[in-house]
Amino acid sequence: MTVFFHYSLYGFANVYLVGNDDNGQAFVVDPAAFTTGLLSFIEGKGYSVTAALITHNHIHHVAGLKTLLRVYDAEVYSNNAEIDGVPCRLVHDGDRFTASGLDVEAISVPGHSADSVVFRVGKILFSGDAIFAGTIGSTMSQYSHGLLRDQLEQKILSQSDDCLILPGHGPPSSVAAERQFNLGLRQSKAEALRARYEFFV
Amino acid sequence: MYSFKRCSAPGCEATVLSGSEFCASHHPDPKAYAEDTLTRLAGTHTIKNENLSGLMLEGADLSGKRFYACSFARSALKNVTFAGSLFRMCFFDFCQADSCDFSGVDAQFCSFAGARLFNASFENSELIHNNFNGLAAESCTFSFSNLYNSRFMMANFRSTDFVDCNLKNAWLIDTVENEVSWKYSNLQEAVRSMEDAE
Repeated sequence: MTVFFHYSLYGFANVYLVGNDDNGQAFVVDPAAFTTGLLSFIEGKGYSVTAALITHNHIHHVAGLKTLLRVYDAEVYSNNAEIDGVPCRLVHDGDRFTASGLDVEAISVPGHSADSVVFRVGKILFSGDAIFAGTIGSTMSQYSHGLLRDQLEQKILSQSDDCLILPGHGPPSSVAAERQFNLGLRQSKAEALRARYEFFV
Repeated sequence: MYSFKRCSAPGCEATVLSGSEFCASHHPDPKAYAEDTLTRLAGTHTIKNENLSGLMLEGADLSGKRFYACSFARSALKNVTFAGSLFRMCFFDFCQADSCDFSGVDAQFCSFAGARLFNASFENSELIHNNFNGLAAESCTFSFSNLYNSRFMMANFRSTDFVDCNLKNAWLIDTVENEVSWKYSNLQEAVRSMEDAE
């Protein structure tokens, strides 16, 4: 298995290409953009994209999906029945499936959005906007902030230390690093918003 | 990526060293393995998918190489030079580096989270989109480097220089700083609080 990252200027999001070197197939995680540069890269490596995994349906992570599907006949896996008119294979918490010949597990981590899913491939966690290096995903309320923290602690931080975290934005990390150095997991939503609140009051 | 196969030692969940059945903790002779690996890497320009996590590497010259998807996590590096090397998606998490030379490197999308660096040089480097959260750096220099979009949350700097660095969108949150020089660097363009980060 080979993993490539592509920094999308649209939304400053990370796009991942995961290649199966045994069968020449690949899948894309969060096609934030599908540029000619990325297409040339995929073709240069000789991969055929057969799947797209969507961590959540936010525009900065799916804007390139339709372009990708014009080029490749790929199956879309998501926690949504459809994304912008594109039908998806619905995945739920704990579902295991095979994409491009690689075993994938879907881990539902709602909070940033209701449809947020972390995809686990071996010891790699494609975490979307659920958790980043040092922070967690933004949320709309104290309830969703608490929900996200609980879900992350139960399902992500419980993974082994050497699991790699490849997020939707920012640099990579590991489960061990996030257990120790994630400020978002230490901060309550009220604390996070206090500075702004005090500014207005 | 490097192999995620589990170590053959009963109960061990760590991943195996490249080309081995064991992790560094359970390898029967990690010192010989490290020497063999360094000899092999010396003749290789492009190094892909190597898992060297937990090894002790001393006095190695790995300058001018291209590293892709390699792991040096929890390794102990002493007098190792990586000068002028290129790193993509490499992991140095929780490694201990003493007197190592990373000057002139081009590192993108790498993680040095929790690493402890002593007397290390990252001068004149491209350090874009890297994770330095929880870093402990003493007597180090990052001067004349581009740190765009890199994160240094909860990092501890002592006697460390960031002279003439590009800090645009570099996250310097909850850092502890003693005798740190930011001279000629655009510190005002760095992200210094969680409120700014959101």
